[in-house]
Amino acid sequence: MNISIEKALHKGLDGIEVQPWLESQTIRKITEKSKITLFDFRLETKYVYVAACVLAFIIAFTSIQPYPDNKRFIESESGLNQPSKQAPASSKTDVTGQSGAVYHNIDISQIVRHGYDSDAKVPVSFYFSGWLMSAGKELDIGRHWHQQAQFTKGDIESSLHTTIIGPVLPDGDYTMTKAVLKDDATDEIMAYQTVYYYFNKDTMEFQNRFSIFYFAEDHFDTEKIEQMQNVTRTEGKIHIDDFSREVNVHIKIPHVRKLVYMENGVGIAIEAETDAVIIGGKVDRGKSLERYEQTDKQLIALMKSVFEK
Amino acid sequence: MSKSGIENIEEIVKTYGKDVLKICRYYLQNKQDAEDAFQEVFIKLVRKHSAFCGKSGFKTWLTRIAINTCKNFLKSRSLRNDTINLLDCDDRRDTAIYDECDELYKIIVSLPLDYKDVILLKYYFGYTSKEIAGILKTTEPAINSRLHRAKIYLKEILTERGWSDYEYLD
Repeated sequence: MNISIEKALHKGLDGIEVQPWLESQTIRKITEKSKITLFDFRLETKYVYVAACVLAFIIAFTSIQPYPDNKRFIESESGLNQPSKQAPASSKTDVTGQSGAVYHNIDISQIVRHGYDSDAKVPVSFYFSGWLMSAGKELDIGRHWHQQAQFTKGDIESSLHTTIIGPVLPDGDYTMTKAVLKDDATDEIMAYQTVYYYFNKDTMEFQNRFSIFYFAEDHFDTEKIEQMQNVTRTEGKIHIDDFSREVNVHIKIPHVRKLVYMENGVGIAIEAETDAVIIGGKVDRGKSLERYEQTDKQLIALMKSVFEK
Repeated sequence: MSKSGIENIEEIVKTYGKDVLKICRYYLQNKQDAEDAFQEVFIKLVRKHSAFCGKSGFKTWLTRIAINTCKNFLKSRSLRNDTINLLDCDDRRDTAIYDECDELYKIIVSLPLDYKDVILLKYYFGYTSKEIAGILKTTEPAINSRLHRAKIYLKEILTERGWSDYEYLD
């Protein structure tokens, strides 16, 4: 048999022609849609100018303030993660949502974390964001976490085929970041992550962090996910594996724990992370474990709040 | 492409339409789906024209949109549990003139998507590995490796079917 891939492809594809009706229907559809696009484009341009003027005014105004105003608080909408509106820049009052959580619109890099080295042995784990990148079905295809700004909630929900539910957050001061994991080859959204950083608002010191992931099972290795899953629901009741104290390693990284749940092809994972307690420059194992347990309770409450909605 | 993105869309559809439709038929193997995807590709093109920064060629960019659109169609098809019977598809030629080329084409279009991508872009459109890497947003070594694996995979299938002496492409 003396044929080649090239010949076969040419035989299969060369005869394909675009019918005139398909061309004209496509152009008509584009023209109809573009009327709206053009209108929006001009509108957006106008808004860009207005926004630029407003921004210039804000920069000018804040630059003559006698002190830096880095405590701009935003009310948490219904106690969830989404701020309802930004308070005026001059506001100095904490506004608390229904759950008690207060969202601070600050740069994450302002949150202080202390590095430490210790002989204390406490539970540790690895980060789920990294694990998801390594659990993809096709490992030779690139995938990267991207900041979520360019995606709407609708885009993400449509890609992941699920409704993204905000958890009831613990009381305290937090700020938030969002990201999506995208398949580099197809640009498809594989997973979505929201991270809530809790910190002491006076000292800006890190307290703990909760990451919530939604991911579409069909992008990942099912067997790996099943091994990771430690949350099950039977007859409406949630069963979560016990908090493990057995992991006993030398720490240089904070404690992390994950709860992973899969249903109808959609996964939810919630990860908690908290630093060890350091007293006199050394890790206090007992106090660290107390803190971990407290964080763990909050983690379980978060998972339940997502289920119960 | 102009700022508005639609001034010369008619010309763009006429110039590139045939290649886009070929990509759609190659991936979707169904005339109706391919025509729907064809329209979707050009609608996306207009919607996303501001994202075209000119780093790659226009045709390369359009090819990427077409491939991604087809993959989205395939995904929604699998979600609907739709299946395509290749024997019923429109690319099946009249049995009187159905030959080994058709048989090989049918095998190629049933390959895993990763392999289908590189085979179409390399052996039909004649893109270089570097250009394919740009279209599929990956690296040149990854493309070369995928091409190599695609050919091995294809060879295995053909050997199983007793096609031991087909013309191998380097």
